[in-house]
Amino acid sequence: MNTHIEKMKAVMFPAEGTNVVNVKFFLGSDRRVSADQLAVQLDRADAQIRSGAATRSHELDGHLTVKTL
Amino acid sequence: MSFARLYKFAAGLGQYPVRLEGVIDTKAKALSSQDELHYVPVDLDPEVSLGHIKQYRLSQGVYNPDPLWVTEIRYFKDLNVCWRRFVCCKELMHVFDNTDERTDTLEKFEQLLDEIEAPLPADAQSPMYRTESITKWMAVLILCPKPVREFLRPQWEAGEMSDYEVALELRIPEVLIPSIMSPRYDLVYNLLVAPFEDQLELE
Repeated sequence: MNTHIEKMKAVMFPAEGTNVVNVKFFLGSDRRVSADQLAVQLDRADAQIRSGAATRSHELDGHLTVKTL
Repeated sequence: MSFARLYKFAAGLGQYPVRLEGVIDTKAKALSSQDELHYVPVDLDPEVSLGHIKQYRLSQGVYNPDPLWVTEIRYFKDLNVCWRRFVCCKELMHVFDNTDERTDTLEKFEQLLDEIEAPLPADAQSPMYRTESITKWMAVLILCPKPVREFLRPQWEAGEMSDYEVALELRIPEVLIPSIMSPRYDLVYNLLVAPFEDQLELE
């Protein structure tokens, strides 16, 4: 079966060697998530970045009013 | 030790909210020898995942044998600022993963996904899987270092500040506040920071 996991395994860890050194996840609200569902998220994020649909952000913190202790 | 150094830096800022971009992440990059760090808002299914980190080596061409070490944190684009900060800070803490903890082979990738799908008892968990919960607490310690916690706790204990109000001051999710104010915070601090306090004092 050609699942998303098999696809991500082949893309991220090909037989000829990988440049990936780490992948980790922050799970969502459904605690019964499957491995395939996570692979789909990884695949979609990769696709969005490759296509330019997702681009880097420089507004992570938003507007912060910093207070001193 | 590297995380303890980052914590000391965060605690030493003497400010809140603790700024992640350009402050914490710059220090984390330096402590973990990352060359590039990027945050990318992406369209994810938030029921499955709020974000993930992908670290990779990027070739600089045939004339430069040293690849760049790149950390890319992808987060769900519709998160509010509090969740965005927490999710990205938690993923950022994975720059401190050691060799055993990194998902850097096919077998480890398969194992991590299998464990997320069907978690094992604590003493059977892989180093990769264990980092998923440890990094959440690391992010908590960074975004609410002890001096900040001790500053806000009296008002919270007296009922003068609600969980929501404390969370607003820190710009972190409200759901974290009870844990921050609980003995669990001290337990994690004693595990991740306290053992290195003497050494950090000398630096």
